[in-house]
Amino acid sequence: MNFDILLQQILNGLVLGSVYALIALGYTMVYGILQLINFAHGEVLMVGAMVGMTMVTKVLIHVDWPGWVKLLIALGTAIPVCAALSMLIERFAYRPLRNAPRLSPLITAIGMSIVLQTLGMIIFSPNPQVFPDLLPTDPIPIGGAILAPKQMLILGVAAAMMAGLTLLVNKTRLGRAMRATAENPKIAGLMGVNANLVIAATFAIGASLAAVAGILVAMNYNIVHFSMGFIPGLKAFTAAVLGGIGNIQGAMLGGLLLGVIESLGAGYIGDLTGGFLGSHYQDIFAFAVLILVLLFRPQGLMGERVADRA
Amino acid sequence: MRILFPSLANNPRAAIAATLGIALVMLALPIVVGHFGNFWVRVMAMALLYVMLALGLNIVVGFAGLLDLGYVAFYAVGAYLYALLASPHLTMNFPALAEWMPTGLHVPIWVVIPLALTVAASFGVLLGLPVLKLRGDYLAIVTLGFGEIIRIFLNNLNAPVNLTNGPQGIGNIDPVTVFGHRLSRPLELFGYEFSSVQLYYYLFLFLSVVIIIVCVRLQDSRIGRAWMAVREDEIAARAMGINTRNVKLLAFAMGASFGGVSGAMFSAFQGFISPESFILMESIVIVAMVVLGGMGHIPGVVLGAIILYAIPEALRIWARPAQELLFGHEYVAPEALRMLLFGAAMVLIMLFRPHGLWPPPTHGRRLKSPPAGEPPPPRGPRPPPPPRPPFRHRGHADPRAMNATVEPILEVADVNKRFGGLQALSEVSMRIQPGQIYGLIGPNGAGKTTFFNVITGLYLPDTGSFKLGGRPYEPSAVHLVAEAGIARTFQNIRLFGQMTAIENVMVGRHVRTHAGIWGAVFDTKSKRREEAEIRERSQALLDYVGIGRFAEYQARTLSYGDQRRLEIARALATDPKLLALDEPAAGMNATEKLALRELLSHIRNDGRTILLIEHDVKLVMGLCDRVTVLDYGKQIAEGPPSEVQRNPAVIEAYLGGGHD
Repeated sequence: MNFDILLQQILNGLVLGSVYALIALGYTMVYGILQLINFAHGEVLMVGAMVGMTMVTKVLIHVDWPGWVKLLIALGTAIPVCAALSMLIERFAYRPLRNAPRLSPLITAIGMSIVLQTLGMIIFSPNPQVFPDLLPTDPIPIGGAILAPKQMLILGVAAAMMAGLTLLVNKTRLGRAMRATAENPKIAGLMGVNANLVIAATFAIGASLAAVAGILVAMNYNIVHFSMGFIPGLKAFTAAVLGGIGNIQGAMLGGLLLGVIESLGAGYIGDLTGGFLGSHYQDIFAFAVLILVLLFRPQGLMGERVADRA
Repeated sequence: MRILFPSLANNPRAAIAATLGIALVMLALPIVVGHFGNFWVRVMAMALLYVMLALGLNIVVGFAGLLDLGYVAFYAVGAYLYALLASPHLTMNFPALAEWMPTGLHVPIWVVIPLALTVAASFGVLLGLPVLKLRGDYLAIVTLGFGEIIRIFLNNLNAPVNLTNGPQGIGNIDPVTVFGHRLSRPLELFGYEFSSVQLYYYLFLFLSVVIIIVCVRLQDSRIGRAWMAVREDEIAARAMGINTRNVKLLAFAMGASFGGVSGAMFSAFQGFISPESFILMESIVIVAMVVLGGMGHIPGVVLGAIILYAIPEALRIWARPAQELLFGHEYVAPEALRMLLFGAAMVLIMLFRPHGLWPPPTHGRRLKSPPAGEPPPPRGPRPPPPPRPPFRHRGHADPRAMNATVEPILEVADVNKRFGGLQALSEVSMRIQPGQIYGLIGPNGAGKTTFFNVITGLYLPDTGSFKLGGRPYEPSAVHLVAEAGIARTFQNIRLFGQMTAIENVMVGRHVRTHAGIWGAVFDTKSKRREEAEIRERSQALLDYVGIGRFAEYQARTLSYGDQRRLEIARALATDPKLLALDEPAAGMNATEKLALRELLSHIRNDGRTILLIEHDVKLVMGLCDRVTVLDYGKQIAEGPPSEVQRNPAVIEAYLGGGHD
C-alpha cells in the first residue's frame, strides 16, 4: 500500500467531507427543531452557487479586482440571498403546516425542491456553466500528497464556519433559545422564547452555511448546474443521520467521516473486490455505511438514545 | 363498497348502481379516448400502473405509518426479473445458457408474477429485518439509500459480467400473453379492433381492481388493525402483544410484492427497461401520490396516483399550444413547465389540504365524531356491568381468604435495576395471589413505575426471577409479556387515537387470534368467523366497562374517564392473567374516581387479578387486598392496607421523619 496515495485520499475525503458537514448542519438544525427533512436545502445550495457565479461572471466581469475579493463579494451576496430565500420557504411552505400530519411538510419540501430546481434550470440554462478559478492553481505539497489552494480554502472556511456555529449555539442568547426550542418548543414558548423567530433564524443560518457550501462546491469543480444541490444534499442528509440527526457535533463528524469513507472507498474498492466493483460504486458507500452504523447505533454516532417511555 | 361510498352505506342498491356506473365508465373510457389517439390510452394505462404502485406503498406508509423513500427499488426488482426471464438478454450474454435454450428465455408472465411477488417481498424482508427498529426518519433515509444502491447496481452490473446491460437497459422483452393472445398485437372482438395499449389498459384495470380488493380486505382485517395500531402508538401496540417488528415486516413485504408485480407489468408493457425508470424521483413521486391523495384512504390514494400521473402528461402535450395561444410565443419548454407545475401543485395541495385531497372520513375510518354543538351522550349513572363477565371466570374461592396452597399469579423475587449511579430497585419481591387487587404505592421516585416497566418487559432488569401463573417468564420483550398474560395500561393514556373505541378493543384480541394475510386476502370462512367473534367479544367488553354506546366513536374523542375505561377494556381483551394498571386514577375527578373504583372491584369480583400502581392513598387503601410500599427502590412494607397504614416506616416515608 502506498502511503502517499492513502494520505491523498484522506485529504480529498476531508475536503469533500467538510462540504458535506456544512450542508448537513442545515439539515440537522432544522430537523432538531421541527423534525422536518428539509428537502429543499440542497436547492438552496444550488441557488447560492448560481448567485455567486452570476456575481463573478456577469456583474464583476469587467472589474479588475483580485480573485479573493471577488470571491468574498460572491459569498457576501449569496449568503443574504439564500438566507432570505430559506426564510421565505419556511414562512410560506412549512409554517402553515406545523400542526399538520407529519408527512405533509415533507411533501411541500419535496415540491419546493422541484420548483427551485426547475426555476434554476429556466433561469440559468439547463447546461452546466463554468465557475472560473479565482485563486492561484499551483498545488501545495503536504507530506507526499498535494492540495490545491482552493481545497485548502474549503478546509479553512468549513472549519471556521463550524467553529463559529458552535460558538453561536453554545454561547449566545439566540443559541440558547435555539437549544431550548429544539428540546421543547412549547415550554420554550412559555419561557418567552419566540419560537417563530428562532425557527426563522435557524433556517437563515442553515441557508447561509449552504450558500457558502454551494460556492465552495462550484469553486472546487469549476462547474455550476441546476441539479448540483441534489446529490450533495442527499449525502449531507445521510451524514446528518450518520452523526445522529439533530446533533450539531454529530453532523460535523458525520460529514467528515462520510467524505473520508467515500474517498477511501472509491480509491480502494477495486483492490478490495479484485476488480469486480469499480469506483463508480462510490455512491454506494455512503448508504452502505449508513445502514451498517444504524444497525449498531440506531440513534446515530452522537445522537442521544431516545428511550422508550411508558 | 362502503369504502368507496361511505355515504351510501345504508343504501346498498345505490352503492351497487354507483359501482356499476364506475365500472361502465372505466370499461368504455379507452374506447372513447382511443378516438383521440393511442397516446391518451397509454397515459391511462400507465396511470393504472401507478395506482397499483401507490396502493402498494400505501400499505407501508398509509396503513403501517412507515416512511419508505426507496419503494421504486421493488418496482425495479420486478421489472428486471421479468426482463431477464423473458428477453434474449441472458442467452446473448451467457453462451452456456444459449446452448440450453437456443431461442432465448421466454418465461410467461403468469409464471413470473408469483416469482416477482416472492422475490420483491424477500427484498422487502431483507431490507426490513435490520432497519425496521429505526425511528421514522432514520427508516426513511435508509430506504432511500437502499433504493439508490439497487439503482447503482442496475447501472453498473454490465461489467465484468453483463447482467443488467447497464445504462443501456434491456430490450426485446416479451409482451404479456393472455389466453394465447399476445397483447402487443391488436385484437378484434365484437367487430371492434382493440389496439395493444387498450388491451394493456384492460389488463391493468383488472389488476388494479384485484389490488384494491386486497387492500380493502387487508385494511379490515386483524393484520390491518395491527398495522394501524403500530402507526398510532407503537408502544401501546407492543403492550397489546403485537410483535411490532413482524407486523411491520409484513407491511414491508406486502407493499414490496405489489411493487414487484407492477414492475413485471411495466417491463412487459414497455418492452424495454433501463435504470432511468427507477430513479429516486420516482420513489418520491409515489410517496407524493399517497400523501397527496390521502394517506391510508384507498380511494384517495387512487385519485392521487391518477392526478399526479395524468396532469404532468397532459402538460407535456398542452404546454406549447397553451403558451402560443396565450402569449403567441413559447416561453418555457414543456418539460420545465411540467416540473414547475408539478412541484407547485405538491406545495399548494398540501398547503390547502394538509390531510390530502381525499382524506379518510374524519381522519379515521367510518367514525362518527360527536357532532359539534350537540352535547355528548348523557353521562348519568352507568349501566351495571352485565352479570356474566365477557371473559373466562377463573372460579377462585373467596379471593381475600388467603389460601397458601393457591399458586400465586405473579411471583417475582430479588429484582434489581440500576440506572447509572441510581439503584432504582433493590431486591424487590412480590407475590400476588389470584383474585387480589394488589397495590404498589410509594412516594414520587420510589421506583414504582420502574418496577412496573421491569415486570412488563419495557426495562431489562439486572437480576430477578419472574413467574406468572406458576410458570417462569422472561420479561425480555413487551409483546412477549403481554402474550404470557400481563396486560397493562399507561399512566398517560395510550390509545390508538384515530381508531374507533371498538377497534381499540379489537386490537387487544390480536394476541389471542390467528387470522393472517391469507385469510384476509381470500376472506376465508374461518377468518370471517373469527372476525365476528372478535367484534362480539369486543362489544361485550365495551359494555362491561360501561362505554358500549361509544363503540363507533373515535377513541380520542372520548372523555378522559371513558378513555381510561377503554384502555382497561382493551387490556382485558388480551385475556390477561394479571391486569396491571399504572396510576389509573391520575387526573380523574372525584366522581370519575368513584366510578373507577366500582369498575375495578367488579373486575376483581369477576375473578381477575389486578396490580395497581397508585398515588391516591385513599383509593388504594379502600380497594386493595394487599399493598407493597416502595421507597428509594426498597420494599419498606408489605401486607394488608390496614397494617401497612400503621407501619412507622411508611408514615416516615410519606410524611418525612425526624420532626420533633
